[in-house]
Amino acid sequence: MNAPHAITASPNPLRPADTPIARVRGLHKSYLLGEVKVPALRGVDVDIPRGCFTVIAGPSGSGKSTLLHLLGCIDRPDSGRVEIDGVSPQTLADDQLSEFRARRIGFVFQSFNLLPVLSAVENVEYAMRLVAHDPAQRRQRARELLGEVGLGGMEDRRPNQLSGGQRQRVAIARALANRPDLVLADEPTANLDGHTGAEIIALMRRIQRQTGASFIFSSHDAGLIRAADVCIRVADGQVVGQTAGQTTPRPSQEVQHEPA
Amino acid sequence: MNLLDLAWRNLLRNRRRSLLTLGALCIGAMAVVIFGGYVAAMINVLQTDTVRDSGHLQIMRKGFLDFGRGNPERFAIRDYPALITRIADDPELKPMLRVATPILRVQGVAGNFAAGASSTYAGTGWQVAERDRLLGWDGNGLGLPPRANRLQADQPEAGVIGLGLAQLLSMCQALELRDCAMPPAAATQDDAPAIDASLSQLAAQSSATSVTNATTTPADATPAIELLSATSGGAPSVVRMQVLRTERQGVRDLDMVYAAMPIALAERLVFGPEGKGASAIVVQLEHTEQIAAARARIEKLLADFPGGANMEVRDFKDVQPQYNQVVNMFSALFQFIALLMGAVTLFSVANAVGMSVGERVGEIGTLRSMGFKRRHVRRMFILEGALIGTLGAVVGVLLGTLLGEYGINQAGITWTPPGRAMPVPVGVDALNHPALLIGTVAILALIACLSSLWPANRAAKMEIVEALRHV
Repeated sequence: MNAPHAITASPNPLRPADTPIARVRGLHKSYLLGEVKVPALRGVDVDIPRGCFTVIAGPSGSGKSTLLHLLGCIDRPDSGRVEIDGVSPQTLADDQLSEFRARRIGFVFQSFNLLPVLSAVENVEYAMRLVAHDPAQRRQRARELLGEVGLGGMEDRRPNQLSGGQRQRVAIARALANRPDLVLADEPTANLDGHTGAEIIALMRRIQRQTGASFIFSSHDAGLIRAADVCIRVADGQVVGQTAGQTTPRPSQEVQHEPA
Repeated sequence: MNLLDLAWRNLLRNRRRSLLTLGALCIGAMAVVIFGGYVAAMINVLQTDTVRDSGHLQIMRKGFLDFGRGNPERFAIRDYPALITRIADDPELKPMLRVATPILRVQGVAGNFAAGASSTYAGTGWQVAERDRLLGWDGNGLGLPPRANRLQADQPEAGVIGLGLAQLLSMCQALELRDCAMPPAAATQDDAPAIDASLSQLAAQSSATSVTNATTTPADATPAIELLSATSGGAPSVVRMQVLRTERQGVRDLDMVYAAMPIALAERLVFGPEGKGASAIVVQLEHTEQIAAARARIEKLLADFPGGANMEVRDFKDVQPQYNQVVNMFSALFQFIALLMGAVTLFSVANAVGMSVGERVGEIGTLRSMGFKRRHVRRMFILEGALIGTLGAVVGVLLGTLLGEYGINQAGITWTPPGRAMPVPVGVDALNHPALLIGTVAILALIACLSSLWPANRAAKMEIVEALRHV
């Protein structure tokens, strides 16, 4: 019933803390734009540290979202290798990959992507259908998670009855529902105003610290970049720099959010 | 919140589209139930009518149906009273048996001396009282009134003829018939003398041996015709039959030759004054479902009956093949309607689910990124199709049943089916056919599932990243 318990992650006990959560080598990925093949990633090599608040930063079209998709196992590279917590998604069949995503990865999207026909608590609960089979337990955990992200009392509201920030909080609770090792967020503050964006960043930062899970964002929000433990800079489909974060923000007011 | 609940909520997202789809399915299901119930009712009426005419089974000499008309004597069952007694007294048959009665088919030339007209006829001799019982059968529980038996037990020399035959024999005036056409005068006068002469001569011979002579009975006032046939010995025989009234037949060719008479009169025509014989023994059972059991038992009895090895038992579908033709015609019409409604369901649901997939591409990407497998996505959309299909079918079946049973059945509409002279009520018998109701729901729901399969597969095959970009 207590909130900290609700967002406890289940870090892989077999992996030492200094082992990267994700290892990427020689990653290439192109997209077809009409009949033109557009390279999105051109030989990316990067290690993403475990248990950190990592941001993949770069301008639009730099390939950060593509890298995030490959790390989230929702896309397959043309060549190169991705390893998530020691598992190579390329070796998994489609259903195994889905199973892997359900248990190990949580997603937060720029447009929140909540199911409009479900209430807040049902959105969170629905994500747990694949992992937890007891409906009562699912409902209980979903309520706890919503309380943890500051939506206590709003459990039964539909997404269209919530503000952008509140929707993103539901999305964060949903991403945490199955206690993933890795939470990926694609420009999570891009559709929010500055104040709300800062609150969301602070919330995620706090949750990351409480859970010890690895959070990876794609963003060009300076506030989010400053809040990160690790910043991986991407330009023209290549990693051009990896630096430790400049600050270690705690409460939300310490984060300066600059909306996209 | 379960998957069904989610499917229901997704259907409510676009209420107008869902309502339109539901409406199309409802109309489809209603059409199937009402037409199916109508066909069932029609077949019941037809079966009742046929069984009243021909009984359920007929015992006859082998080959009678194909050749008996041409040689009634050769195919006659001479000792039919003994066989009827054996059937009627059989303890196994008794509970099933309603009527066992002989009939005798006879054909020849009918003449009206007074008008100088003649024509061929095909008649049947009946035991009048037993025919009353035959025509009162209502084993299907339709509540139809018994058909009138125009033959009269106290008029052994009197029968009925078709309206067409009455016209051919120029009996319109004599029988005081309305809607009866008179033959062209010239044609009648040209042909009349030769036939008149021959028939008069034969009738005169016949009257010498006949039990009853038309010219000497008090029933002289009743119009009469002469029926000419051939006796078993091949000699021509004539009887005078008073015509009680006409009975219009649904088929023109039959109406032109139809005659029904007491069996004694027919026997005199075929076998002479003292002869006895029947073309067949008509067996009518309490219920149509008893046919197989009764048939098996009668065949067993025939095996022990003298000459029984040369007899066979045919059911009413063999005796009146048009029964199966009409049933098949109605069945084909029903299948056609059902096929059309199935196509309506197919396209309505495929369209609704397809549009739903198109509107929820981003949602599909989200679900897949959350770890839901392709089959989960497929199942989600199929469930939506199945839900709307089942709902539409159930509502349509309920409405169709209500409309049929409490609307159409109470309206008192009648129509005359092909080949019939009497109108029958337009009815919908849906409640007595649970297979029709359950089958309609099951098949439409199945079609709904199948039709949502294609869009559901399209949704399941989407690439996650492309689907997410669609947001």
